Amino acid sequence: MAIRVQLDDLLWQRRMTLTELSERIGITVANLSILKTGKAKAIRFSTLDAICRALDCQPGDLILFDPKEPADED
Amino acid sequence: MLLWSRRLLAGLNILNWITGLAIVAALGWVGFAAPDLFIARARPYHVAHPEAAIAWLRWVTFITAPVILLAHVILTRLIAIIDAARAGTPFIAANAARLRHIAWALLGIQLLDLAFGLVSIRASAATGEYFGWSFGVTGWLAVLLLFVLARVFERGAAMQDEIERTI
Repeated sequence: MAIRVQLDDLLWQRRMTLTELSERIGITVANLSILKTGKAKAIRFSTLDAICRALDCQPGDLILFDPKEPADED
Repeated sequence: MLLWSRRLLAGLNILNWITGLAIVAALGWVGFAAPDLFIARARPYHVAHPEAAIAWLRWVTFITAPVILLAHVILTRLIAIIDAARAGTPFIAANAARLRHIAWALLGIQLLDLAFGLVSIRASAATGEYFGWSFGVTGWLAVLLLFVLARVFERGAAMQDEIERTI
């Protein structure tokens, strides 16, 4: 998958834990962990909206396209 | 509903093995161990070539035996699909594979039915007796339907996986 989720970096920059983010946006730690580790298949606009509000960032700060990575086979 | 279907299928599978093995044993015994007895019993009915009937019995023994196994595959896979549905996960890759197994097993039964038809037509021609068989499209349509359904389930399982990994 050539799409990389930078949630870990953003959390570190904001000095915030996954649990704190989970409490703020109402998404379980398990689901955020799936997103953080790049195992998610898709992300809802509502999730993106909530994360961007909580971390005060743009969607482009959270999601990155890495052309060196191979494309998803699915 | 699902629970009763499961019980019914489990019962049918037991019946499949008991009656199937009994039929194969009876056909095999007459066809291979006691053909003279059959010829003697057929004599008053003026069967033209009783040896052709014996050959038919032998062929039918070979044709019937694998049907028991194929029916077992169909019934056990159906039970597994029901179990998955009862657990709340009907759209999984395993169910698609199970449906495909059922389709292949039914295709096998259809092919064996054709073989049964062939030996029956030959036996009818040789003896002048009617060895009942007629061609039917229902089974073939069911095979086609099952292969299509297996593909649909495969797609459904992929969609379910996608939904589960959508955050």
